[in-house]
This record gives sequence, C-alpha cells and structure tokens, in this order.
Amino acid sequence: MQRNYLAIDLRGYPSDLFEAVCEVVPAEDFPLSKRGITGVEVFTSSQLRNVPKGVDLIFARGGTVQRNRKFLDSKRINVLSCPYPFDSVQARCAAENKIALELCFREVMNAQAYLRAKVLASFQKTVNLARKYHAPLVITSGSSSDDEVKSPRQLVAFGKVLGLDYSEAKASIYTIPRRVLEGFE
Amino acid sequence: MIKKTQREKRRYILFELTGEETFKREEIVTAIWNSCLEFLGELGASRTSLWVHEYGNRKGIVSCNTRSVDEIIMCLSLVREIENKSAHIRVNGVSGTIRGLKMVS
Repeated sequence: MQRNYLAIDLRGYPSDLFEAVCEVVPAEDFPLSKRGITGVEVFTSSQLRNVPKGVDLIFARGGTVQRNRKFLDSKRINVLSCPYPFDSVQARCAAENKIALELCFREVMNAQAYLRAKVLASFQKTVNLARKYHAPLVITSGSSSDDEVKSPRQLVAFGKVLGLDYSEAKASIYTIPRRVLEGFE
Repeated sequence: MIKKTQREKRRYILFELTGEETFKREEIVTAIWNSCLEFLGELGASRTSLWVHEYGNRKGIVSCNTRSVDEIIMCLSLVREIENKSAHIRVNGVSGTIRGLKMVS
C-alpha cells in the first residue's frame, strides 16, 4: 500500500501533506502576504501589466472564451484557472505556450446540484481536450484554512472522477506542478 | 454461503474529521450517505457497496467495492457540514484490510 504521495498544491493552504504549497492572493495583496511560494491572480489582461515583482506564479481567472484566448495568447501567465467555456483552439494554444489548466476542487465543493453538474461537465470537457492536445493539467485543492486541506489521495480521486488515468492524475498533482514552478525548463 | 473466492473485493478507507466540532457516529453516517446520494444518485450509491464500519476519536473507516474507491473518496471530500455545523473530512489511507489501515493510523 502506498501511504504517502509526493504532491505539490499550486493553490492551497500550507500543510505537511504536501512537498510545496503555493498560496494565491489577489495582485493588490501580494506584498503583504509573501511567505513561501506565492502566486497572484489576475482577472483582466490589463492587470498583467501591473504584476508585482517577485511573484512565483501568475494565475489568470478565465470565464469567457474571449478572456481565455487573451490570457492564453499573452504567454505571461503560468496557470489558467476556471478554464471554461473551453474549446480545441484554446487547448492547442495552452499546449503551445505551456500554460497549465487548473482543475480546482473548491469549485466543485462550493457548487451544488445543477451548478455542480455544470462545473463537473466543464471540467470533464477540459480534461478530454487537454488529453487530446497534450495541454498541461494541474489539480489544486483551493483550500483557504487548515480544516479544508485535502490529502493528495483525495486530489488523485478527483482527477480520476473527471476522467484522468491514475498515472495522469498523479502527474497532475506532482510532476506537472513542479514543471510549472520550474518554468517548463 | 458464498465462497471466499466469489466474494466481492473490498477496500477500506480511513478518514479523519477536521475542525473543532465533535459528532456522534449516527450523524457522521447520515452525512456520508447524504453526500453519496447527492453526488452519485440512488443508483450510483447502490453500486458502491458503501458501509461505515467504525467511528470514534474523530477517525473512522468506511468500506466499498474496488470499482468505486475514487467515487467514495470524492463523496467524503464533498462533506461540508454535519448537523448545520462546519465539518470537513480528510482521507488518510486506503487499504485492502482493516489491519493495514490501523498500521497507518
């Protein structure tokens, strides 16, 4: 039995369960809360011009096709979160520019009933397209307190429920996040 | 009586309740089943062979068949509140025997 997984959480709360955890904060809060690996989240492409120095990762929050395409073409971001509505053009662009697509567990946990079904369907579509075009996928917990921290096994189960293989799900919580932190060198 | 070789293979999942609130075993069982029914539906839940074995000292063990381990872990992870109090469940290990799980804890 494998008891411990090597894992990196790119959007989470610091915990011993993970080798490294990246805390994501809005761009304006960045200088106040720098401890360990920190990422900032931008909501519009104009915010990319004002990203503070010393940031380890830049997350961009998608939501519409136009916004997703702008972020994916900009090549300045590391991770695209909420990558839905997602299509094959975006998947190809993410693969070419080596921008990871985020599957956040919190999105599913916070939604209920119809909305949860829609979020799961969007994630499954993202997974299918990312597998087809070899775009990098990362699974994150999105936890904001110690109680909400999920174990790496729970994140692997989340990936498998979305349609990933066991090895792909494991890669999405360790190998790919590590490469994202190293800048795909 | 079913032969040992014809029995369904099971997996045991060790979980831990995080947060400060304490709950009775019955409340935990109801919360897990409600989460399972909400996420998988009645038909999906019936196919998992879910059973809550024991719960005490904020730790517990559930079992399911080998095909639905990930679904059950997902259902446990989706528990947000029990009896209108905030509660989260963390999975600590999966094993083929209860003895194996007790070695983890």
